[in-house]
Amino acid sequence: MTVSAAPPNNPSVETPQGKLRGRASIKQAASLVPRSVWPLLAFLVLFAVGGVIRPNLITVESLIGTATFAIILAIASFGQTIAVIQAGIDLSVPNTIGFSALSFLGLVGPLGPAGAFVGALATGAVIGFFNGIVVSKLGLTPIVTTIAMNGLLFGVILLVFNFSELTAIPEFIVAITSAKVSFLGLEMAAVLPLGLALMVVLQLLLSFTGWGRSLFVVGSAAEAARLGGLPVDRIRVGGYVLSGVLAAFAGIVIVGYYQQASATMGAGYLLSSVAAVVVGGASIFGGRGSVVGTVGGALVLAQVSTLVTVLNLGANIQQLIYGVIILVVISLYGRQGRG
Amino acid sequence: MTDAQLGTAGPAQIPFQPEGERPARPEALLVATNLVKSYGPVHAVQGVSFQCNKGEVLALVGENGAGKSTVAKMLAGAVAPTSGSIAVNGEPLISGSVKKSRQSGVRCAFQELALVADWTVAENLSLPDGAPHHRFSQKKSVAAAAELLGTLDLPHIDPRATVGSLSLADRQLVEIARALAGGPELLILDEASSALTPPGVAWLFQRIRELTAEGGSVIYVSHRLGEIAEIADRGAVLRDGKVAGEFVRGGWTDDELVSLMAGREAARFFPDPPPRITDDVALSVSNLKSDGVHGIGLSIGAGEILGVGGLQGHGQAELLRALFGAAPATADSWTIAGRTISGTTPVRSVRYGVGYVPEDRKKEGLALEMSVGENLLVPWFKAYQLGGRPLLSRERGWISGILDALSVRTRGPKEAAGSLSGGNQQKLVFGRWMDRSRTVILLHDPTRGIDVRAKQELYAAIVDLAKQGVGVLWFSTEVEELVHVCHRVVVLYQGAVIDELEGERLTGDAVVGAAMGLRAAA
Repeated sequence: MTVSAAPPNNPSVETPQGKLRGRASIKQAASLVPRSVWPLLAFLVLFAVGGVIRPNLITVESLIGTATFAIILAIASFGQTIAVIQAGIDLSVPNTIGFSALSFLGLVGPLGPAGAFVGALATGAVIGFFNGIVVSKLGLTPIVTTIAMNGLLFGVILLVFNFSELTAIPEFIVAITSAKVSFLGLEMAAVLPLGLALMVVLQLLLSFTGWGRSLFVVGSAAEAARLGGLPVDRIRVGGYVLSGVLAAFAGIVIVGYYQQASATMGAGYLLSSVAAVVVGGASIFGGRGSVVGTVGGALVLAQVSTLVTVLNLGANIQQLIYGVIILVVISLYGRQGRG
Repeated sequence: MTDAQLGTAGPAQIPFQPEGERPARPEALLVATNLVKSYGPVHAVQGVSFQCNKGEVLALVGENGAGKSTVAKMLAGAVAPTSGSIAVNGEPLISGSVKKSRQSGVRCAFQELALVADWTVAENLSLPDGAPHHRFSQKKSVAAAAELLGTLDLPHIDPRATVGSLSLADRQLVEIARALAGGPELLILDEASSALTPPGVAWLFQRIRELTAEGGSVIYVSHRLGEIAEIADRGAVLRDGKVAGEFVRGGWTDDELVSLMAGREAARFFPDPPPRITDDVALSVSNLKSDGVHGIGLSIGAGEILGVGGLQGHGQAELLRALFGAAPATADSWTIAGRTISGTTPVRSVRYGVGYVPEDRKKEGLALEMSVGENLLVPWFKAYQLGGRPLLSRERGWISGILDALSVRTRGPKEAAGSLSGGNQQKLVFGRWMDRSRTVILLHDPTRGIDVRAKQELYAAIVDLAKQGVGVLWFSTEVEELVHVCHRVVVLYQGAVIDELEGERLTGDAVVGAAMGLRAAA
């Protein structure tokens, strides 16, 4: 380290970069494509594969059918996305879905549909609040905290709800989920535009607000956020509350769309919500992710599910494929991160 | 640092001989020739040669970052040298393997204790000698440990106790006992006395004398000059990864050694601190207590650069964290810009006008995946206001001003912070507090590990902040920075201020001397 050696240092650093420009430019071009576009491309490839196997799958109706299935999964995974971005995970999503759906149906009688809707979202907020407090103030790891919360909720569901009365689904919930609407000249279930609208709102929140950006800083480097003067605990708790509210909303949507509720209705969303988020380009270590990507990830998974059905492979194989996809995607992103 | 500079730097009083010209004498046990170790662009050790003879105690002294520990680790085989060679008894040492080093009779007690805290003393003592490859018997290991501790005169340590339950001093003794266990030919003690009490040090010296009487050698790495005077037959002073000089028993004084360790550098490299224009106090605290900080009182004037010196682990990092609220702390009185506070948190500190540049820029300073612009803006995110691109474009002027003022070499505010070089990353952590009406900035060794040009740009920025009336508290491990750029320097020793240096008394020797625990007469 001498003074005289310093000035010529800088230009000489740039020369080797120039030699590597050919390879670097491909990488650079690839890095210009937003992360959330990759799952959409993957979906299109899978859609084409489906068409090769069964040409009659390439129709607008088939696309809308897959997209509807995907958007419900996406709505259930939005909360998970928020949790993963802040370097957490929300494994209480399945039973938050069940709990809020059953609370909603139970509250429709005493409070009316609107009151029940707000009440059910509030249960999600409370669940998320507890998750957030335990994770940020007591310092437990998110994976343990939320899986314990998931078990706890299941116990509460079995204790509290009397299943015989859970039949009537309020009109307006049906209207925003399973009712057919015409959108862009196409007939589709109302849940599809609803989910897309929610996606846009959440993406704006994440990309363009101070809170959203703080969530990314906390997820990327919690200690840096704390020493930068950000209220890390408050941001964390807020993130889990939003995650809980979104899972609760997913519960209501699922009730409206499938017109039924049960104690285990959320079980399928444990693996698939994490899969959708990860396939959607989020880093499981936090600091990276988007709800647009999550919708793309959900589309990929939905198309996989369609292909599994078409090929008559059965639901067990579908779970296996989801597991393989998660492993492959995480290892691919892991490589990219190091490169 | 060229050799020519070194020649003028080393005071002539200390007899030192250039190592290369002396032929290796027959009794040389270990000969290290031209050792170099680089970590990326950082040259921790750059061409160190010395030899250790049979039956002697060779001291390695130097400041933090002078390369002592790296040299010790290379000898122990824990770190492979980038170039250079080590020979033991004339046989080249296979470098980079602790096991091979041990087989050659070289054993090391490490500075950061290399013991498994959850294991018992007996288990730890049996760990190095291939324990994984043999059948392990709890009973036998306890018996062996008890015998070893008995012969080493450490009867008070229970071989069945877990290491984590022992005091720090006892853990250190176990670590030394483990190194002594195999009857080493060459024992390397890397700051091994740092946690020992005076009786512990006496015990250690007794063991060293026994070892050397049997023809073994010891390489003794330490900061403590008193101990070196007592035990070392010869010694080498390291500075900036090079041998700055050598000394022999009785041929040196504390002052000479200290100046040799501190060295002299061309002063023009450093800017002068700006003249003080106001007597306002930016921050004052009295009897500040926190983990590792035992009652520190200090006051930083507006526009003053107050340096914090001392050896690593004497409370500097803790002091800064306590003042920022990153670690819980109490104080008898505590004011920031005249406002009395009872305590603080990072969130409140930012509101009070305090900024903090933490130690580890990668882990504590930056969100590496996020953009340069957003990293600058981290302290200024408001949850209910705009963020992301809208905020970046609103703050475009401020961001480009900071990037220009610090000459941050980046492709723009949208580049990921992680793709910048270390020096430029450090500028981001520093730059986020500039032009934001700060009262006090707390700097944790901001120039560590960055290149010379980046250093000078940071010096200029620090001086600029002081000109604007910001109080700067600057902990540096580089004595020259403290001496040249600071108005005043407080030196910490064992979590308290041992000396405050200003004006004439602010010299490199005084800072290093105080850091060693020698309080100079006023």
